[in-house]
Amino acid sequence: MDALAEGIGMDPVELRLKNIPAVSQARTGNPPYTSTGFRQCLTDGAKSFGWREVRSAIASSNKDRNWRKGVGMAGGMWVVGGGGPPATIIVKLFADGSVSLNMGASDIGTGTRTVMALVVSEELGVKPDLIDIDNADTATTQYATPSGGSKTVPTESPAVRAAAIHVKQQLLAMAAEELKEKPASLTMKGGTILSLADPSKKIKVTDVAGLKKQGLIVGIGYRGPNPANRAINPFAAQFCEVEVNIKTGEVRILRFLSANDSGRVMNRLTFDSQVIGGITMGIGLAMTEARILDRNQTGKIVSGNWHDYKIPTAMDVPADIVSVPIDSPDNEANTTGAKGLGEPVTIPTAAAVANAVYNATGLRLTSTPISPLVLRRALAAMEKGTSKQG
Amino acid sequence: MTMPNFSYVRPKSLKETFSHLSAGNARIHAGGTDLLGCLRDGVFTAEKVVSISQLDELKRVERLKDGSIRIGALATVAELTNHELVKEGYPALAQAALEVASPQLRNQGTIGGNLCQKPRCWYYRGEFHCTRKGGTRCFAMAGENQYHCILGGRGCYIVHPSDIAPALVAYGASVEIAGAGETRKIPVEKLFVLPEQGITKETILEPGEVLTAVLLPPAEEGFHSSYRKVRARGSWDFALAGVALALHFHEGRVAGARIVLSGAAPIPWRCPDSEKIITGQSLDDDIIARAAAAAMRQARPMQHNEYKIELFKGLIAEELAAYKRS
Repeated sequence: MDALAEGIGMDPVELRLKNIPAVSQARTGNPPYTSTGFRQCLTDGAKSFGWREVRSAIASSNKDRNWRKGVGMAGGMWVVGGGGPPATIIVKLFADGSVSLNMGASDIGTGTRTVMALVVSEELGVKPDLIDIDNADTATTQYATPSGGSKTVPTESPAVRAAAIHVKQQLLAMAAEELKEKPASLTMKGGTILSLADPSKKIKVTDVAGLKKQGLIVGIGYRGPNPANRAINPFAAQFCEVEVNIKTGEVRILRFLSANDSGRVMNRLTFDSQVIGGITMGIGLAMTEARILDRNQTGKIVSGNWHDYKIPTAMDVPADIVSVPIDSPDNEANTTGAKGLGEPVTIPTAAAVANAVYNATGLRLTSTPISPLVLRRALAAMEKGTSKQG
Repeated sequence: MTMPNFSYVRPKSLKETFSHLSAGNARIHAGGTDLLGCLRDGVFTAEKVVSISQLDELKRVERLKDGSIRIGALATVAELTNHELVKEGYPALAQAALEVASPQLRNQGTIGGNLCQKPRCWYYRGEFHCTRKGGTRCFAMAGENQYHCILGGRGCYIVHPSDIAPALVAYGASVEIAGAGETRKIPVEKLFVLPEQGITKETILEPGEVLTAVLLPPAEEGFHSSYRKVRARGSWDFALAGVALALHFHEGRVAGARIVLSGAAPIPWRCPDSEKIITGQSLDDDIIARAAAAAMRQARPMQHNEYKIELFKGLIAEELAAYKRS
């Protein structure tokens, strides 16, 4: 894409903006996307990064230095990320106003528990710290699919919402009897049920006689199917600035920015954490990680430990990572409007680094890792070519 | 991999240490950052592990009467990065120490252990019965040799893994080696062994001997030093290429020079030709380019490590250029 843009003398952001598809071109029947925030990823990302300004200023800063600066960007979408059935959730509302959420899905450090508590909180008006979560226990929770494919939030959160709604329906039916209203004309707000028409008619959840008598209300939620003939995909655009030593082939990543459309931003803190983690993993792909086989002799792996298989460290990741969330609920995809985040972040990272290295050096690298070893070889090839021409 | 069985002792004196070491297949345990990995990975075995961690006399860092610095072998790598005596007089050593491994490993690893560590060749460390482990074949010769040596290899193509050692060679430092007999003092430069001199050992230490201290000659006026390392990863990684410089300047000219490379050879590699080229000269681009080229004149790369030649030239030139007009 970068080479294409250069070939026709167009800014790579501009080239992408002119080619945003509304339908999936890879799938049979070319189904439309439920939502694509790719345009906003590109425009908001470029603006926050200062893409145009930095890009034109950077060329002149590189005179007579071994360390050459460069900027690069790339776009990406993730092949999955819409989630889907099955998921089964049980939510219990107790007479004291506290809630229990029972869910098979695990939280592998991504903030799943936080997000699910927020969905219950939003639906039932209960403070998150009153929600107890029991999850990922094969003895006490329901069957769940693994946390992978950036699908846990879009898979589980609609089922959580359905279970909370199931609780709410039962609770409002009980309250309607006491307030002498129809359930449909009631609403919940901060632990209180009130009439939409006459807000003075209200009752605290913990005062609802039916709930007190029964002790608890159990709600069950199932994940329904995704919309037919639609493609649900997260989108991203990333921008980075690097510094390359043209004598030694060392690369320093100075800063990174990622603009992600993953539907609704369920929680900003865990969203940003996924973005930073995704960029870190992407930098590993771009710069350090390689599986190396003893290919000419034994066929055994030689990089089979954590020293020789180099995942990035804190020293390989810039302190300056900016997350630009494109908060656009995808209401056609599911009832929480969320699409997956996690893997989508890692998609454009290595390409953005490679494009920045090109911008700094004129070297077009199309494989990873971009290590001093690889860059030094490429520099040698370029130096050779130049001297031949000269 | 599981840790094999061994007996473990913590002697209270050097004398007691020597008697433990004389008993069969014994290994010295200082920081343990390398030893335990080697045992776990089956690189070698040990029947007895002799911890020297109680020998407090090996932990001191002090200035001696003649102005030299004596660093006990158990001084940690972390101490070298921030000890006043080291930072003031021997910046290349402090810089090299800071390039070692990761903060946790620097806190645990010692200067003695750093000098006596085993090489990081992935064939040596892996399940390959190579020449250094008593086998008949060096797998690096026709294998994945991108990180292997371009200088000084013969029958084995490891690079010496230490960052600290090149800095010490640049300073003309020595080590004290104690054994049951007399204690000897050896220049660090003579501590290491090329494969052609002994393919299964890395140092001249005999079984039962202990490296007890490092001695740095007094720092002098007009003396400048530095260490720089190029690596594939920002932390916890060994050198692809590194260079320690120790230069004496007199009236704008180089009066004496030591240039020592890491990541180039099975031992810290001095570049006498380059040193000669710059000695007596004031550093300019031409002299620097000639010195950098001379350092690589003897290089014999293998299939995958030719890139190191230009990498070293670029690195040496960049480091020398920092001293232009100084």
